[in-house]
This record gives sequence, structure tokens and C-alpha cells, in this order.
Amino acid sequence: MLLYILRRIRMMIPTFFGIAFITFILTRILPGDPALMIAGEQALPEYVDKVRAEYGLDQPIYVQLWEYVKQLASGNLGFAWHTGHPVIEDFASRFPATLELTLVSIILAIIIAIPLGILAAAFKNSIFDYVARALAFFGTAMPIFWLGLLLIMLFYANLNWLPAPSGRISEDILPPTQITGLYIVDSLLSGDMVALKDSLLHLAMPAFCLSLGTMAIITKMVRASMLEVLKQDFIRTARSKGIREFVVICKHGLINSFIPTLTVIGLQFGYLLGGSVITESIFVWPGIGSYVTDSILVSDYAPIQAMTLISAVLYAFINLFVDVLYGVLDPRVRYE
Amino acid sequence: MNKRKQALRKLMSFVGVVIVGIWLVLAILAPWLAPHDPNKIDTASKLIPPNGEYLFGTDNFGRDIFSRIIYGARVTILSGIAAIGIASFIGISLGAVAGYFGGKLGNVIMRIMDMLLAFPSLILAMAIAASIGPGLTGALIAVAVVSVPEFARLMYGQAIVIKEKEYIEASRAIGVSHQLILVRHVFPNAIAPLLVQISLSLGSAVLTTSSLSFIGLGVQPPTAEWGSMISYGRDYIVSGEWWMTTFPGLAIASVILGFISLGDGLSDWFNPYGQSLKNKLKQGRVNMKRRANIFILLFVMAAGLLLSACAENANQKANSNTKGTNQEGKGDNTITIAYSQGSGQTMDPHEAGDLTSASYAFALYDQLVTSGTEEKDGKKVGRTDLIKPSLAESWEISKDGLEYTFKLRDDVKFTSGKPVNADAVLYSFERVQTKGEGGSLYKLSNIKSVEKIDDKTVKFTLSKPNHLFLKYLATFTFSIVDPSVAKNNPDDYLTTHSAGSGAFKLESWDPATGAVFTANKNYWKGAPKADKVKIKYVKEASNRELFLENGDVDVALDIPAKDVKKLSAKDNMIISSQPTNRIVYMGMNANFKPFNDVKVRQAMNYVIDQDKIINDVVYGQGAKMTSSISHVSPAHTSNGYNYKYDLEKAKSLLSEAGYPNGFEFDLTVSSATQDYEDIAVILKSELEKIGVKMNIKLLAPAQYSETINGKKAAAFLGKYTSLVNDPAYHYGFLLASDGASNYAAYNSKEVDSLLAQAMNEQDEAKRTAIYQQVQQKVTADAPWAYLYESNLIAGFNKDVKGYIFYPDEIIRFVSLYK
Repeated sequence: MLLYILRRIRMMIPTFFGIAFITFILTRILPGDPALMIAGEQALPEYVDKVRAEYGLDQPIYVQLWEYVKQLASGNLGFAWHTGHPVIEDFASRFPATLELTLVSIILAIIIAIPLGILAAAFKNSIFDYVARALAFFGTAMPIFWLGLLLIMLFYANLNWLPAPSGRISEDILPPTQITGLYIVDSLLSGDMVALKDSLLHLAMPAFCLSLGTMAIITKMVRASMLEVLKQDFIRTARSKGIREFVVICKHGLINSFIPTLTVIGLQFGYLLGGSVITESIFVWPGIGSYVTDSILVSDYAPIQAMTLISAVLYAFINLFVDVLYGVLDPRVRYE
Repeated sequence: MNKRKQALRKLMSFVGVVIVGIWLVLAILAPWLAPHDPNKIDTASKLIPPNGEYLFGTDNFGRDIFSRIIYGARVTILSGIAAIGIASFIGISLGAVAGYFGGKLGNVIMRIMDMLLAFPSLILAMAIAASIGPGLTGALIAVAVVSVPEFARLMYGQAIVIKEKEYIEASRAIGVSHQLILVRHVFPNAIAPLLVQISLSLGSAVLTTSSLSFIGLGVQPPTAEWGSMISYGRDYIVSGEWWMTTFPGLAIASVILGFISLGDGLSDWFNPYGQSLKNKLKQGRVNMKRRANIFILLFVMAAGLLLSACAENANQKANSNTKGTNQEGKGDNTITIAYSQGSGQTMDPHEAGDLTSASYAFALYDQLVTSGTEEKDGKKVGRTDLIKPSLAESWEISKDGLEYTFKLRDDVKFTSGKPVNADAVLYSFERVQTKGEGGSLYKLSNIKSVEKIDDKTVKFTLSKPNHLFLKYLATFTFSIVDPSVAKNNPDDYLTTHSAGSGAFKLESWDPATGAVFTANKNYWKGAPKADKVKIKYVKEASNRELFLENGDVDVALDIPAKDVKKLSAKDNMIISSQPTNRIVYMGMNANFKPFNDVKVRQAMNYVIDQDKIINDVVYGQGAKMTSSISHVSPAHTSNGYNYKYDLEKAKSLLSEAGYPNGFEFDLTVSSATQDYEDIAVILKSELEKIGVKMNIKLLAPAQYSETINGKKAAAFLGKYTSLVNDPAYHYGFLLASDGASNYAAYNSKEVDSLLAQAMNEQDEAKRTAIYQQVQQKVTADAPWAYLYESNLIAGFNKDVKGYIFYPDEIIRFVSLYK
């Protein structure tokens, strides 16, 4: 299996180069002259040229590409002029925010979707089934940006149940000691219950908003594959042996229907990392989604390049992880 | 059980067909079905809630939302169909080739597809849409590109299975060509899953298109598109106009629902788990009650959301104060300010070019001289045209105006403890020359040399007299930095650290969220009354407003003009709306036809109803623009401004110029400010009345600045706030023939020579007279059509005191306290 993993990683490398190349080209054809934006509105042309030279933007494109490759090779992701910080520092402060949001969304989706999917399959055409199917439809059809606005109006402006949708933690509460950068984990580790409660409250709206689509897909998947599995002979055998229905469904049924679900969860994780763009901008979440949106609008190349590369790497590794998990769940799966 | 399921699914696909069908009919027959013109502006009937005449209410221009939704269906659905049409064609072809032929080619194709799949799709779509430029075409291509890999993968999977089938082998044996096999056999046998995928992709295409529009990379105004309607209406949810977002939201949701149901239905149709078609049809007639359940549920959920949106007005007041009182008990004097334009690009005063960074520079650093203030209606107001001593306590100017000798104060220290002396001044002026915006100002100020006379005396020698030299020195650019810190660190150290003598020190700066400044207790002008100032970057105007109302921030900058009246009435806050020296104008480039004709340019001035713009777009929070410089700038005169809203006059001018039937042109607008988009929409409808067709080109900030800087825009919507509040600076940048910001390519020998003359004139009264001559000449030549002068609007919690407004739009938070 180790060999299999190594081979998969080796196969990823050309993909990463391809992605770096495509992103590089894509950013360079982005219209807009970064030098003008960096120098400011009231700068004389000769100083704009100076800035252009300073950032190497006056070089021919192949030279810029070569510089970029050299930079990447030395582990440098470049400098984001629109924030005044190196990209790597921006990522260090923003990536945990996006990761936390994504993880919580996935977890939220799983803990709601899997039981709901099971119940829907076990009690077909019952109220659970209708809720599951309604959720599946609703979740896929609801535009995040609209849902987000409605949630803010309801839970913050009207009911005032949730804190201001701005950032990950309230102004008057200190963030927990930085260990992983994930506020929930850090506050648990350091036993900071005030911070834990506050960051959970901040997460509630954006995480729900982001998870809805995923929740819908997982519910659909679990329900469908459970229905499929429950028709199998071994389920009938189990039932005829007099095993309790609960055990039949949760043990024999669930484990066997889990592989397709797992694939979907893996794919969704990658999708969510990139898909947080809109959620983050609506809930003023200081993650990489809003960072990249701003970068695109002002033609700041380095963060766009870094973001696509990093999320592609994550995407590849998550899929690898899921493939390896298959073998754990189903001993029949062999890796060659 | 199975029968019911089948029946339900069949019903769902039927409902899907019906929903999609209805929308398609609406889209195609929009001109006949829409009760109103979707783009007709009628400000008399703006923001009307849904009623008999306007089923879904009207927006802020009085446009009928129902009609806009029907027309929006055309854009959203038809562009979705076009995008998926292209994507499925390309994807299926690639997948079929890769699967059928396999080998190296197939491998390469599928590798590229995998690569595209690994991109975060919305970000890829955004980048593509931004590359092509905002507009429907860009969005369409972006959606198509991100959808290609799904089709390719699906077709690939089908093709590798089908090509092993006996009938393919048989065809090949009898000599059928590969192309024919692909078209006749492989494709038809793979069509079922492909159709399902097309239907599902249509749903996500609608979502992606509207998401792009929501971000501002979709259609161009005033085209009705659902995503942009929601984006547009989001500021109005707070103020209670829920219908502007709710109906487009429901429209998007219903279309996606339709496509998904259709896809599910199709998938059952093609894959009936071995059941015969007859069986399926028979099952169509079971229990009606069950079928309806799921839709009732959906309806209830949607209705709940609708209600929640409607109910907000009633509940808002009751809750608005609770949080504010919680936070007041905290004791320490911290002021939290919500900024609108980012968290700043740099802490380095010499590099700063944006308003946010400029405000940081003013807090962290001092300059040799500074802007004065005056009492106006019992309030202190900043005067950027009055110069007061700061680090320099006095100065002398030589008779020829070429030498300025400054005497520095004795008692000023940097936060490091080092004294502010002549060496620090020399070092700072050396450093500023190496930076972009700083270097420009250095050059414009005509400094030839800076000398140290003694430790507390500095002499500046100018290459040419410069009557606004002192005003230059008062800008944040010429901040005095601490050489002991700056020299001993890398050059970019000051980008993220402070080394000044200012009222505040930088505590932390995280561009993702904002910055925190702590008071410099030893500040030589007296410690600031606030202990801390926290800057929070809150992009959405509606959020800034909500935060202020709920007491989550003490100050909110850039409050939307439409809410000034409503918020002013609340007793927990104070709204300040003051005239700045920002001008907003439509520039017309004389190098483009028909703007080469002065009569055409003048005609444009007669089309503009400034009162209407000020009323409808900025809700009275602005002033009429009667000259090319703002009325708060020195030497301003309205003389020579004889234009007024007069369409007949405009028409006759156009006829004289040889355009009796009008013409067509593009107006380039930056997407950074909503108000400018609104003005463009109003302008468009006014111009239509005299037969001129104007297309709005809304561009992202970077693209906008590149376009107008290259003088590539025939007409553009420009704004300018001169950093130095003086006509010399203003005209030097904007209307001198070699001006760096002369985007309209205005070229007048007379104006050039007047400006040169004024620059050498030491007598202020005479200078003023010359600048007034310039203004009259420019107004007559009409390189710009004047639109309005905008106010700076900021909201304050009623406990916040000490705000001093400055017309250069840069907030000085030094004086704020609670």
C-alpha cells in the first residue's frame, strides 16, 4: 500500500506543474495593470514604471514564468502587495479560518445527513423520507448568497441570537492560544470555554450556509446507496436470523453503503475549500476565499497563484486519503 | 413501496418539466408577457412594495421587479443553456475521443481534464470571467470551461465500456470508419447518462452565472439578471425593502429545482431498474396525496424564509440597543472603526496610496507642518488648505520663494525615545524619493535639495517656486520616520511596523481583519483620549450599518447615502455627512469620435440633470458640480457654468455637430462604487431620450484603471479627490495636457499656459484670478460633463466624541474618544 501511495504522489507532480502553469498564464491575461494599482492614483508615470520594474512586471512573460518557478522551488509564494504582506504570512493567518469553516461544515453535513439518509432509507415514504428529500432539493437549489443574507437578517438583525457576522471571534474576547490555528480545537486544548462558545456562535451561520449543499448531496447519496444495499441478500439473511432491525441497518447496511458516500465527502471537501468564496465575503470571514476574490479584482497575481496551487494539492491528497480509506472499510479492496 | 417511489419520481420529473417549461416560455415571450419595461426608470414610483400593479414591487429606480425577473430569465436561463451546450459538446467530444482511441492522446486529454477538476471551480470561473472582462460573454465562457471536465469524464467512462461491445467490433470488421462509429454507435448508446448530466449541469450553470454576477463579474447593468439583482438589493434588506432580493432568490431556487427534478426524472426514465415502460406508465396513476407532500414541505420552508425576511422591520427596533449597553461597561476607552476600503496596503507612509493606509500614516507619524481646523456651526472642521506648524514650530521663506528654512521643535521624540531632529528629516526626504506615490509628490513639490543647518534647523531649496509647497509637506507622504529604526532593518520593515512620533503606535495588523493601534502616552501634543483604536475591515455597506446599529462598532465609514435619513433619526447614533473635494464627472476623450466635437461634449452637459442625480442616487448627500474643481477648494468659481438640464438644447447641439440621429458609445465605469453604476444607469436612460445609445462597461478596479490610464476609454465615469487641496495640484494632474491623470486627453494650449503662469505667480489674489479663468475655459471646452460632488458620510455611536472631518476623505482617528 505504501508503494501505491508513493506512486500516486509521483503521478500528482506533473499535475501540479500543469496547474501552476495554467494559473500563471491565467493571471497574466487578467486585464489590469498591477503597477498602476500599487503606485496609487496620484502617482506620476515615471514612478509607476519604477514600481513595475521593482516587481519585475516589465520583464517578458517567459522571464516572469522562470522567476515564478524559481520562487516556487525555493518555497516562496510571493508577496501580496494589496495586503502589504508575503502571501505565506497571509495564508498562515487566513488558511486556518477557511479550514475551520470547511471542516465544521463537513462535520455538520455529515452528522445531519448520514442519520437522515439512513432514516429516510429505513422508513421509506415516512416523514423522514420527505424531510430528507426536501433537504436534498432545497440544499442544491438555494443560492448561498441569498441564504446568507436571509440568515444574517434573521439571526443577527432581528433575533440577535448570534454575534455580528464579522470575523471568527468577538472583539472583546481574546482568541485562544495559537496551537493549530483552528479556534475550536485550540480553545478545547487550552480549556478556554469562553472562546469556544464564542467561536462556535460565530461559526454557526457561515458553516450552516456552506454545508447546506453538501448536506443535500450526502443525504441523497446515503439514502440511495442504503436502499440499494438493503435489497441485498445478506440483509435478508441477517433479518431472517432474527438480528434486531437497528443492528441490521446500522451495522450491516451502513458499512456496506459507506464507500460511495465517502467518495462524495472527499470530493465535497475539495469543493468546499474553493467554494467558500461567497460565504466568506458575506459573513466577513477572514479566510482565503475573500482574499482571492479581492486579489482577482485588483490583479494581485501572487495570492491567486498560491491559492489555486494549494487547493489543488489539498484536493489531490484528500482524494488519495479517501482511496486509502476504501481499503480500511472494505478489506476486499486491493491496491496494486 | 417501489410503485410509490416510481410514481413520486415520475411526478417530480413532471414538475421539473413544468417549472423549466414555464421559465422557458417566460424567457422567450418576455416582451409580450412583462407588464412593464424592465429598464424604464421612473423615480416617482421607486421602492414600492408588491401590490396589484407591481406584483413583486419596484426597485430604487422604480423599475418593475416582476418584469425584470421575466427578462432576467432570458439572460440567466438562456446563457446557462448556451454555456452548457458549448461545454457538453466539447466535453463529450473530448471524452469520446479519449475513451474510444485511448493511448497517449486519451491519456493527455484526461490528464488535462483532471487538472481542471482539481481547480476550485468558482475561483477558476472568476479568474476566467475577469480575464475576458465582465459581461455575459465572459461569464458564459467561464461557466462552459468549468463544466467541460464533467462531461469529458462521463463520456470517457461510457466510451471505454461501449468500445468493447460486439456490435462495435462488428462495425469495425465491416469497415465502418472511426468517425461514423463514434457518431452512429458510441454516442447514441451513451446518451442517457449524458442527458441527465446536462440537466444537472444546467442547474449549477444557473447558480454559477448568478454567483459571478453577485460578485460583479457577470452581466453589465442595466441588464436584468437574477444574481446581480440580489447583489444589488442586498443593501436594501437592512432598510426593509425585502422584495428586491426575495423574488430573484426564489426565481433562482425554482429554476435549479426544475433542472434537478428533470435530471432525476430523466435518470429514472433511462434506468428503470429493469422495469418495462408499460409498468412505469401504469404507476403514474397512484395516490395523489403522497406526491404532494414533498412540495408542501418545500413550500413551507420557502414561505418561512420569506416571512423571516418580511418580519425584520417590526423587530428591528426592539433589539437594536441591547448589545450597545453590554459593551459600554467595559471601562477601557477603545474605539472600533469599520472601514470600507480594505485593511490597508502598507503601514509605510512613503508608500501609501490608498485612503486606508493614508489614515494609518496620519495616526503613526507627524509631518513638518499640518492641516488646520476651523470652527463651523459649533463643530471643528479640518481645512486642508490652511497650514499650521507641527514638527516644525516656525519657518521662513526667502523672497524669491525658493528657500524654506524650518525650525524644528525641541521636545519631540519618536516612540523609540530618539529625538526628532534634522537628521531624521533628511533621512525621511531621502527615503520618500525611492517610493511610487511618495516619489511622485517629491518630484511635484520641486524640491532640489534638503540641507541640515544645525540639529534643529533644516533648509529646503526648490528648483522652481511652488506656492503650494507647504501643502505638500502637510500630506501623509512627507511623514518623518525614525532613522534609528528604519536604517537598522530591511527596507520593507516599515511596511508592517511603525517608527514614528505620532499619537498612536501599531499594535497589530492582520490584513484579513484589520489593525489595532495603541495610544502613544508620551505624545508631544498630549496623549490621545482613546487608549486603543481598532480598525475593522467590513466590506458590505449593509453589515457596517448593522454593526453600528447594534453597537458592535463605534464608527462606520461610508454609510450608504440612502440610509442617512433613517439612521439620523435613531437616537443612539450620529450621522456626519460633509462635502469633500471629491468630484464625479463623465470624461470624454477628444481623440474618439464624436467627442472630438466640442458641441457634442457640451450637449452631454445638457443631458445631465444634476438635481436628479443628487436626489435619486445620493439622496441629497452631495452638491452640484459647477466647475472642474470642487467648491471646497480654493479659487473655485461657478462662473461660466451655464449648462442646465435641457434635452432640446442638447438635441440641437447634436444636430449642429452633425449627429441629428444620435450616436453610440461605451461608458467605462469602475465596479468599486455602487453609486457610479447607478449614475450610469440614469445617464443611459436620459441619453436614450435624445437618441444616443450608451453601453455601460463596468470594469473591476484594476482593469478600469488600466483602461482609463491608457486613455483607451472614449468616455468614462471618473472621480478625483486631490490629495493636496489646491487648484495647482488638481489641474496639474487632471487637465494639464501632460497631466498624469488627464484621462480625457484634454489638450488646451491656453489652459497650459495659464497654469504655468499661475505656478509662477506669488500673489494669491492674482493667482486666484488666473485659476478662475482656467475654470471658465475648461467648462466651456467641456472635456467633462459635470455630475456631482460627493459627501463623505460616516456614522458614529452617540458616545463617540471628537470627530474632526477633513475634506480629503482621510479619517484622522487621533481625536476620537468615548
